[in-house]
Amino acid sequence: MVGGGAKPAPFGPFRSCSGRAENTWLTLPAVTLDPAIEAPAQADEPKAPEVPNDSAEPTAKARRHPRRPLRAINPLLALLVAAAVLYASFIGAGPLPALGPTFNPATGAWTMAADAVPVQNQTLTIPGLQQPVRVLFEKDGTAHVVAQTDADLFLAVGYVHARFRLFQMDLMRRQGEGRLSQVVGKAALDSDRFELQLGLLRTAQLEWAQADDVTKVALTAYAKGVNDRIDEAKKSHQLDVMFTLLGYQPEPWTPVDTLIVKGDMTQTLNFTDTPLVMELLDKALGSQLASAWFPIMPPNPQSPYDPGPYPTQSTPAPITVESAVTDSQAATALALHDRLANLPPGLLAAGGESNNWAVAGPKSASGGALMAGDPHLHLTLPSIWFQLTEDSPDYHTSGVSIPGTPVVLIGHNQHISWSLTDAQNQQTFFYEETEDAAHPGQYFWKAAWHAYDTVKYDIPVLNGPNDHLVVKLSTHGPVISERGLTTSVWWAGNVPSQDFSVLMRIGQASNYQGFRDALRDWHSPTHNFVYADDAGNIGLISAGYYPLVAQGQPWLPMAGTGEYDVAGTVPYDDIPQIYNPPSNIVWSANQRQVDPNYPYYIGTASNFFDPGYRANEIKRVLSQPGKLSAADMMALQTDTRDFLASEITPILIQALASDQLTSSEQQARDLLSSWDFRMETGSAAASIWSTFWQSYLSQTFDPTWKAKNVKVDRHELDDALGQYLEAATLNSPSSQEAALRSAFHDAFSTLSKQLGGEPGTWTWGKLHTRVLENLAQISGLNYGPRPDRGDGNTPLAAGGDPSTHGPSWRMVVDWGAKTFTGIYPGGQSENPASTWYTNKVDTWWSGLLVPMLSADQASFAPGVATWAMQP
Amino acid sequence: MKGWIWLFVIVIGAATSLVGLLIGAWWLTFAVGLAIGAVIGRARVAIPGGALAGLAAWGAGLAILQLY
Repeated sequence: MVGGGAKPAPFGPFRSCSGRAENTWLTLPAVTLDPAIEAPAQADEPKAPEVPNDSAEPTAKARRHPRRPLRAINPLLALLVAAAVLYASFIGAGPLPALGPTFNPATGAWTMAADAVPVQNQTLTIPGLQQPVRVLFEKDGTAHVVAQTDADLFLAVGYVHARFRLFQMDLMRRQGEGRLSQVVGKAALDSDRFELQLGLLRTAQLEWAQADDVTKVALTAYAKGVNDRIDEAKKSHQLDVMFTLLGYQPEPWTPVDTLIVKGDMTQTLNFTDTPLVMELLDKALGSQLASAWFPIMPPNPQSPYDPGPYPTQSTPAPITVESAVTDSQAATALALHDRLANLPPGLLAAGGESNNWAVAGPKSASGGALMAGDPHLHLTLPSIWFQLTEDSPDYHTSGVSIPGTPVVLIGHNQHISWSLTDAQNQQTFFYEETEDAAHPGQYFWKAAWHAYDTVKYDIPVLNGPNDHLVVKLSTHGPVISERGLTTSVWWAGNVPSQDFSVLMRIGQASNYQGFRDALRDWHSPTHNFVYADDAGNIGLISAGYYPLVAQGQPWLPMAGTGEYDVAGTVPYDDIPQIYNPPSNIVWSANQRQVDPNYPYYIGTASNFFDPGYRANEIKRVLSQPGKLSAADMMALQTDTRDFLASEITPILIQALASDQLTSSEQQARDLLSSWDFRMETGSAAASIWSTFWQSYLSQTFDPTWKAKNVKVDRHELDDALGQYLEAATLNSPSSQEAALRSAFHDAFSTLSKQLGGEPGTWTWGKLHTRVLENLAQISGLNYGPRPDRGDGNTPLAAGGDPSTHGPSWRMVVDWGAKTFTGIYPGGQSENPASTWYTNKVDTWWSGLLVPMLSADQASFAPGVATWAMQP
Repeated sequence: MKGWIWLFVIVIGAATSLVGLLIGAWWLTFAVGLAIGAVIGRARVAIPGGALAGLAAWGAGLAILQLY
């Protein structure tokens, strides 16, 4: 009893539970408490073992032996656990970043709370202001900046952007400048090397050096406002928690950073590897099959918005080629394609899916022009957009801006409104340089050897040595691959241009002439700018560079010997454009803007332009008899009718008429027969159609893909192959009957296995979801995935599953009723703890738009808060 | 008497943690926790005591910084 009564003492709680002290030794092995917790318990009563007479109790001795190692092991384990926690806190573990600093009360996660508090009326002292500035915030976070000078306006916008989106801005500039590795380590090194090779930074520096005075004033003031906020946030310990998590503080913002952010967007929208893909297809499939499946002109009916007449002569206009445009390292098309394919998403244009259109006064129910726009981009939290109104003596614009840039990119002023879609023309050209061992460091161009220019970079890498990079520049641009043939790239995004100046002039334009004149200097990315004004006029201009080569096949990599160089661009008066057409409607949805009679090469149908299903559907709706209203515009933005399905499904039904179907297959067929071709979440026919079309593509092309060992993922080319298949089915339905039936049976089998039950239960929402992804790729901060309607062919763009791209901003303007509405999926703040992180998502999801108030209207809105900014 | 010593250890631990946090050494709380565990042998006291010391230091640091 003595020994047994003393030794269990450390396990008092267990003893009291059992009420039998003697048994506690026996229960010890079953105890699984954390050793770190047990350790002090062991040491709690060190004298306990000494109470019994050890010498007189040999069994007690034997019991005591195990405790010596425990005494040592438990503190050791405690130390190890503590060390492991500290290690994970400092270094991170696997995908887990170093979370320790987030617990710092000064700079850690707590700072999110301060920043998440709803904006209140406040007086702020902002260094650099010339006059007081007023910033009003609507209840949903929409900002209205009212300044007495233009410089003050842009300074205040810089402050507001940085207040709500500083981390996003820093991330974007780091990406373009090739400085991500500095804060996230070598995982971002491929991205950094590529960006420095491509040359966004060099181009931005040139643009800044060549900027006009108006641009310099705007960008300098904007940078000052951003830096005011950075200084304030550092001082008040209110930097975004992501800075703490990544262990760095933002450096001062510069005007070049703003130009880099613009470069990021240009790259995302129009830097492509399509010529490399075309070359791989040509090699694998043979030129005959490749040109049949991937033709220059579209094989299917499309809806160009500019039907001509076109110029009869193609005289290239001079293009300003940047002398310092750079590249590095190249290889064969495959090596380069693989390299580009492995880069992080967003560095390569992945096809556009944006809509815009306008309706002239005579066809509008209100009598005034209508305009709608919804640019489709990667949907992120925070959004790429920040909604605001800019008011100063020279600017009265309202719409959305990109954080990091000072102007409204899509919106309206007092007289005109505008929106953008990507024009999709070819702006990336690859050149294979001729080299020779006898001429090291040189390339052969125009019958002579020329030395490459070089630029050297030291890329700082977190927890590692700097990475040294030498970028070689030929006359065409930067060398981006030296594996195999040395390949350089001519990219329109590397031609310095004054696009901010253009945007500021658009913001000040009061009629079509002013709008069109401003766009004359817009270079890259080429956009379809839709236009409507308060006089009932509408227009569409696909402004930007349309590079022309003197000869050769620009849709493939070309020899860099000089004969195939970019020689100019389509003259501004000859680019696709239209003003007040007799139909009273204009529209663009990334389709080819012109018909086959257009005299200039602007890109291949297969890979640069959209297949045209959205454009066809938009044109179909707008062309219907009767007048249109703003409500009709909103309905069309969320239209889920799949134009391709409307063409193919009747042919499929006809093919199935003579087929042997089971009763369940008949149900599936009947669902298709009565379908309205809308990809709604509750539609089972939508699931059957989508699965059928994938089977149809797969059964038609996969055998050849395998037999010819094509190196390009077939799914990457579904849009192009789909056009071929669409044309084949429409032109010769009887020859496709067997294939249509087979694909239907395959789709039925797939859905039966995947979803089970009766065909009527196979609703689209079970197969198709949408997710808004957190920009820092923290999945816990995503919105969704959530079942959603639409697909890649519908005006409500929702390609992929889960769909991560779509309408990043919706705007509808009715100049007759003087109503302006808009919405984007997200919120004004990048802080997940803020009520403005996702507050606009539900409204956007339901297809509703919110009135875009003027600053005066906002001042009377309920819940408005005001910042009074003082110099 | 032992209870007073333990309380003293916890208070000193909290103060040390607070100083650490204020100078940016957020990790010092872990070291203090270990020290408390070593000095106070009884788990029932050491664990909540260490937690209390850490929480008090963090909360006080937060309050000071917010007031500042």
